[in-house]
Amino acid sequence: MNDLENQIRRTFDAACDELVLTPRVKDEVFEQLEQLERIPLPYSMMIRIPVVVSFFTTIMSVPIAVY
Amino acid sequence: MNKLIRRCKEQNKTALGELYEQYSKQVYRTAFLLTRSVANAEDVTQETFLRVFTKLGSYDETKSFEAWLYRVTINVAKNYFRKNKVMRFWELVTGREHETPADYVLKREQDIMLWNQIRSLPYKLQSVIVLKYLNECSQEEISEILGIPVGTVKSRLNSGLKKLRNQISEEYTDSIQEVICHE
Repeated sequence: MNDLENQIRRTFDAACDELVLTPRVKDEVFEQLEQLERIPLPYSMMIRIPVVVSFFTTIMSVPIAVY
Repeated sequence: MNKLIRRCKEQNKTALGELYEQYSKQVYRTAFLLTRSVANAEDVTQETFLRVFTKLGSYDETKSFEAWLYRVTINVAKNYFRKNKVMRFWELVTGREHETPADYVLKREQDIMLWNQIRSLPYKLQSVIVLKYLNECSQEEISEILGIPVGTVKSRLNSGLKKLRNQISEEYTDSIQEVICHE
């Protein structure tokens, strides 16, 4: 069993030995990440934001009115 | 490590770059062994890091980052296979399967034989073998990564090794018989 396990390790090492990851992959990852950041807020968030803002405005207006 | 992850969670570009530099080689190697081609491995690496960077918020810092990263890699590679099933079938039918660096690098007959046998194993056995012998994960870690019980990891590992041993001895017998027939 140990012989086979060692042979698997050696084969994997040899198979991956000359693998070089091109810088293009990294560039594409970061490019896509930037594109994702540029996408506007989802529709559900766009609805939630005015609701939250109006809720706080109403809450704050009560003590101001009392004062 | 946790400091780096926290900076990454804040979408700090330098930190994300550092994380990529630290783990891209291992992710790429894992993807290569699972997808069997350089082009596929590059696509899987790209998709894995994109997912890691965008889903980092869901990573639980009390658990191993490597285990989480390998889980993402294994899932992306599995989906990649599913998506490209037609393409892969076409390659097999037409014999246009990509040649890999391993096809050139492996010189020892034993290694070539084993490499081909590993490539012919079903994905679920292959992924356990890659995690164990390339990434040096323990059975407990593999269980966490794949979301299966430790007992299943053990049985998949044993079944994979048994298949490899049988196939190797069959090929070895065939090659001996060929030599005898030639003589």
